Amino acid sequence: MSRAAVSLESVVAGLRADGRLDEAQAAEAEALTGKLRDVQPWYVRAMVSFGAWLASLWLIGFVAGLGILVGGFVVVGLALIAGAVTLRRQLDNDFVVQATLAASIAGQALLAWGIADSGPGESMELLCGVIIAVSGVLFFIFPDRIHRVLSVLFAASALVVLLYVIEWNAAVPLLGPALAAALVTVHRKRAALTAAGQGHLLRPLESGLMLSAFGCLLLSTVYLLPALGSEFVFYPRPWISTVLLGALLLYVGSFTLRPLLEGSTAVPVTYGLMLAVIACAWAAPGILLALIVILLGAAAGERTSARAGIAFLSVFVTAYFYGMETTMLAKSITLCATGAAILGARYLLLRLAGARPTGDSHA
Amino acid sequence: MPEPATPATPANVHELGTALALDEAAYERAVELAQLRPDRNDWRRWLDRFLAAAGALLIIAGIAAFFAWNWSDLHRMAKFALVEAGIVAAVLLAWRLKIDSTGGRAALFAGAFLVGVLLAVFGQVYQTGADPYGLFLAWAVLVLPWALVGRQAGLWLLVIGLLNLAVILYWTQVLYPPEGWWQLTQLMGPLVWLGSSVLDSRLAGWLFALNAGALVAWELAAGLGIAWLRGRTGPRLLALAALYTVLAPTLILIFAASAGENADVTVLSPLLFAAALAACLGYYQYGKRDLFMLTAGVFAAILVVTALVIRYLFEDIGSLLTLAVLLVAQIGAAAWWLRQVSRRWEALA
Repeated sequence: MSRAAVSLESVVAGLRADGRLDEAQAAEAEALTGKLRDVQPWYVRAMVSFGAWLASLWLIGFVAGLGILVGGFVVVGLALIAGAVTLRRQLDNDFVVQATLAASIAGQALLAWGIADSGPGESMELLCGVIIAVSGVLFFIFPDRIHRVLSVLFAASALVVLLYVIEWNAAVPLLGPALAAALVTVHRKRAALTAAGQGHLLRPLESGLMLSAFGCLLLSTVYLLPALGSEFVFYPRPWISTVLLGALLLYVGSFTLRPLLEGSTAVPVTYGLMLAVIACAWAAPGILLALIVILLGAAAGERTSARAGIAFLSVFVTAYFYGMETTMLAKSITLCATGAAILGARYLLLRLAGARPTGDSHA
Repeated sequence: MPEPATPATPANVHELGTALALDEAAYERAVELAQLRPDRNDWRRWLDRFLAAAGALLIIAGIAAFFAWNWSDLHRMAKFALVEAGIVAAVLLAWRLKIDSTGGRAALFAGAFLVGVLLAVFGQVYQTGADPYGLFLAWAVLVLPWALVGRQAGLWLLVIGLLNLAVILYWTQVLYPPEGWWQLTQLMGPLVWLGSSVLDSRLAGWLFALNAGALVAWELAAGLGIAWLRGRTGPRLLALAALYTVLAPTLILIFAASAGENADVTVLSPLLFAAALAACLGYYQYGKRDLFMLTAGVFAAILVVTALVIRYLFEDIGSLLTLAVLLVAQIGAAAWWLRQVSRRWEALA
């Protein structure tokens, strides 16, 4: 049976047959499957989202226009955030979801603007600190998946800016691997955390960590023209990220590829190939992050994650080659050699891991 | 009538685990029942495809980078030989893989695309002085037989896209070259230039006729039961193109009526828009049921109504409140109506 043929109703039936659901849970499961079935198509939701965002921004423009007179951006921003949180916790329809999302983000923007506008000196550090704190609180109290993803992104972005502001650039190469490690940990602990009642936080947390790690690693491709004479280093010693992400890749490979490698002679070859990839990616750690995300997504049957990893791989490689001061010939040789190495790895892996695959996929 | 099943996607299974507060073992069991984790065979198949695609794409990109490195130094015959070899290789691959397979379709499409590259190289090498519309027209004519035998929607969309470009170029470079400030649109990049084609209601009307005609033909052919026309991506893209060519000039007419003498936007576009909207809402509600088309039509109508309100009722900051309320009401009503239509269809199914 392929995954496409498995329905949530049959999963619920299986759990009931195993005695893992009581009557109340079974009734709740039935209501949930009905609710999930009744979701509007993406294009209707996109239309509603567009309308909600535009209407909210007009409304915010109206309120902000009044707010300048009665208390300034900080007060209006806080009021918008509080109103959005309150409304969103009570209502769940498409329009309110998008309108409160827009109101909360606009509120955070007004709050940040108000703080940044409050004075010189330490205001940038204060601003970053406030963004991290507000995002941290909203992640827990604003019950919306997209908002939670954005909260993680805002907090991570503020942290990166803070590192640059306080001139801790040397710590930037640690941040991407740290976020990736957090992603792997949450992914591995998904069942346990769901059982602990934190299930609603996990998927947005994973998405946020993944996107934040992508953003951090893209910084390693930023190339400053020597003609600018700038001594500012965006991403010092990218090999630090390579080493840390390489270790993480080996760990992820050890549990994701287990079904493929169990009982075969390909285990040392696979680790050898992963080490070779790590060595090849010495100056391009984003490739390793992409592979980690792709492996995690493929192992969990989550096509969206796997595709996100593939998309990031394309973006990273493009940015990496676009920014490098090398000739087209050197780029051509690198691309062809890497492609040939991948095809060679494919041949070796499939040959050592057993017979060629057959049938339709559900991975 | 049985309820349609809810797919056991990773997101839905997680939603289930969260809502029911499943313990760790039950959660793992749900994942197992949903068959989310790939087995050994799945992994091999996935690695097979992923590594083959990644390796092939990197090598193709590497070859492209190599030719970009010394393109200007290549002899003209070498340039022709390269592109023609690509066309021949693509056709042979399509023949080898069968033109109805995914790989065969991709190869045939790549070959059809390379025909345009060959024409561009020809124009670059010999500096023929021909009008650019000729390139796209010749390209469309040359790949038309491919589309006829290829049995794939992508090739037909390519032909229709090329015809659109040929019409725009013929109009803006041969019949009615833009004058005054409008000439700047040709210097601001191809997207701005193509977008500016809706500044002339007559040209926009011809483009509407082309895309709407193609859409009607597509729907009629699909109605005859031709299997490869069953997908909805093609007609939806054509419908969006047709809608754009009447919606955009209508919005321009509303917002920039004072620039009308320069822009050649006339009442023809709103009239075509009204007719297209009525046809869309009627046919896709009572004929071929397609909620996407109804959504696009309703959304376009909301944009026009909102634009009219902004143009004629906006006075001060207080008007923002009126606008927001009006938009909320329109969107809410549209979403409600679309849900009612969807439920009515389900009841009739």
